[in-house]
Amino acid sequence: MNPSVKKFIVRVLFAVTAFAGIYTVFSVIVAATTVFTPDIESLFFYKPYMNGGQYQRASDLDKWLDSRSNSTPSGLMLGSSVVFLNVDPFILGKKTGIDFFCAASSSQDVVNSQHILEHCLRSKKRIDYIFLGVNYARWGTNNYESSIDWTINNYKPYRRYVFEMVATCNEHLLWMNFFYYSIKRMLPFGQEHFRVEKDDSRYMGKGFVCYTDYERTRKIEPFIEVSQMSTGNYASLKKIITICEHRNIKLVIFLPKILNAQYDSGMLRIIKEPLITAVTCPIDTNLFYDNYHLYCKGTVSYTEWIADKFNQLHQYNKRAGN
Amino acid sequence: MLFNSFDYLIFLPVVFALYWLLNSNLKLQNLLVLSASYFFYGSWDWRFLFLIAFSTFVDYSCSIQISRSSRLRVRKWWLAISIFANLGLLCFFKYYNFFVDSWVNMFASIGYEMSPWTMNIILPLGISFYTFQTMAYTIDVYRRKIEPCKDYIAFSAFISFFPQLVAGPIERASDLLTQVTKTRTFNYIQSVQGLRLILWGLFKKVVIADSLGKGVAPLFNHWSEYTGTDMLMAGVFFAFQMYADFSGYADIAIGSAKLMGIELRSNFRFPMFSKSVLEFWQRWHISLTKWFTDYLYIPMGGSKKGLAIAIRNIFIIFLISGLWHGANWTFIVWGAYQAAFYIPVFAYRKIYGKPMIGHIHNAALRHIVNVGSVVFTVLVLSVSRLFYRAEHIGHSYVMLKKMVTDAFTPISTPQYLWYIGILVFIELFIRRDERNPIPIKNTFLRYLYCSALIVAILLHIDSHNQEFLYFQF
Repeated sequence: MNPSVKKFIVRVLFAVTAFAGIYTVFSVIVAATTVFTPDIESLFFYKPYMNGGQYQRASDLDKWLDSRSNSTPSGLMLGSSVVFLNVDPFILGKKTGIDFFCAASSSQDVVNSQHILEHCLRSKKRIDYIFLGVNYARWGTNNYESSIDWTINNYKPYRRYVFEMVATCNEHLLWMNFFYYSIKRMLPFGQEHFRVEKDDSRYMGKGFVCYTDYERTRKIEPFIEVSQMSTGNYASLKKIITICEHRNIKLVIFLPKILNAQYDSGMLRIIKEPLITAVTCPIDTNLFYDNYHLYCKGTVSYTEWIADKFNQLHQYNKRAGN
Repeated sequence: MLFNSFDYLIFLPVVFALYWLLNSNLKLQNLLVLSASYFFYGSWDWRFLFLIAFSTFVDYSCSIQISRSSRLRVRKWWLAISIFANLGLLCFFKYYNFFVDSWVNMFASIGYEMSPWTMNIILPLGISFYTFQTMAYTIDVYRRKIEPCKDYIAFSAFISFFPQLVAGPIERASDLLTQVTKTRTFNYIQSVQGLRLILWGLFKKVVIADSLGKGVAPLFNHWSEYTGTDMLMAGVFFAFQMYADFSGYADIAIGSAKLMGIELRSNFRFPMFSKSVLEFWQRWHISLTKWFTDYLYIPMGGSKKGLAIAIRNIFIIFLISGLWHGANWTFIVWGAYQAAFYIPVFAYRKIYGKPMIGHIHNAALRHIVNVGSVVFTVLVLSVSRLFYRAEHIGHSYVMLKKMVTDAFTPISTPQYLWYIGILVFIELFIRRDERNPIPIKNTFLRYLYCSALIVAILLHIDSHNQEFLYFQF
């Protein structure tokens, strides 16, 4: 190759490295400014927020993974807001005798659920059950919202499972925020400035979030379109099934109740795992504040119904010798 | 494949690497350029490839036939075939429905109803640009300014050269074709300049143009909800959006060509700092202005047959230029508006031999007049953009009327002025030379500046990449 061309390529590579270095320094400087003002950080990066409980959930997940209990089986709940807003792990745990933790996030698809599961299995905690919520109205979409959530609302984003989420999504803004928040949260200085929203959600613990009953305005769409499962989500679903088989983890797939959604029963053919279909759950639809999510008081009866179904499945599997 | 897309970020380095690996074999190298260009163009719609291939074949064949004959009538005949084929394509794809609709509306206005024979025609990308380029080639061969190219691969590569295929600059065979038919040598400084131009072009497109576009769209689409001053701002924002978008494209095109050792002509010379509409057209879309001058204005007599004829010619050229920009009466009105401000300045210079400011000797006063002229020219051009962007004449009329009747009201979206301010500041104090966008000698400061541009681009780039505005032509 022409020596000038080689020199040019080397110069380009040097420039890319220099940019990475400058960007790192820039991130450190922006992180330092948060001690004095949140405005400079807000100019360049997404602001973390408390709404949805993700910030507390990320650290509580690690605490739960570090906790040990030999007597009580443990269960990991995965999925999107149809899980962390609707299914109460305290009630579910009480009725099933399983110590559940809800590691769901906004619009979290099966791909990100797989990354979180793999992260949890790398810890020393024994996981006996997986409760995998699959939002069939949104499983054709990508995982950008969920990946942003796990990145910016995470006290330690510089970890493998977050990197895998970011790499799978592969959006440039996500990369920029991942890089920045990883640097910021490694540094001893740097203040967190959460986005303040007029919000009535409460983090209840164990990854569960609840909306109070009377403040949130009710809005129901007359029709919710159901998308095809994306190839990425399908591949992740198969991967989760394989992981559970190899690790002897009992997997239960949960199809939530979504108002006015054209539920496609054909999808049942691809899911051979134990299934809880809340589509037929006889819950008062007035307890929903939108097509997907329940008011706080609605989560009680909803979770109790799911728990009964879970126990029936569990008993069935016990009798079948599984 | 857009210049501001991830696909192009992969495409360009691959082509660059293969291009210089094949440097020892000119024919293979040109074949690579041709293949890459067809791939680039076909990525929008593979059907477009038939049109450009047809246009290439027609002009290649006609130019050879023109050069073979010494008889004027035969030469004219082959030239006519080439022009008819190219203009025929252009007129059909771009203007068929416009002419049919206008014809039908004209008869409807006198009470005669006709059923329209409009068709669902897709406008091929860049057709206005490459048909002008091929016609220029054939005309130059006819005029014996250049010899016809016998190498079909080189000729096809010249016509379809991907950096400038879709939105110019409109190149001449004497410039681009001569470079395509000669061996290129890798020039380190040229390539570095190319990368800097690409970076600067991306910044103008992604950060300035696309951001201003977000401010422009609601002002035009929901004009009734905004004030009269907002209507003026709509024109100002759109004027700068057009400049940043189109010149950004040109910079990326020129930069990409430099990476392949090829120099394209400049298409913009700081037009937004023009002191008159006449000066603006010497600095804006220079290749198109030159094309109209060489192939229409001068053959029509230019300025040589007296001032009245020159004014007539200029007026006709502006109307044609308007029509070139789009198949809508708004563009024709836009052309007439441009002519209305161009012609007085042109006439004054013809009569007095110098611009109006030539009569002012006081330096401070000259400076004030210069600045005032620039501001006035920007405002004139901004108003013209109302015609340009409007969907129809009525739309532009109501916006203009509101601008006049509801003047001196607050601006609803002042935040977009920041983008104009940043662009003007950089062009005025940092850039200065339109071929050298980053003239910072200190290495550290240069890397810092480039990093700032890259961060700004990354923060603004949309995953749903915004098309370049001039693609619609």
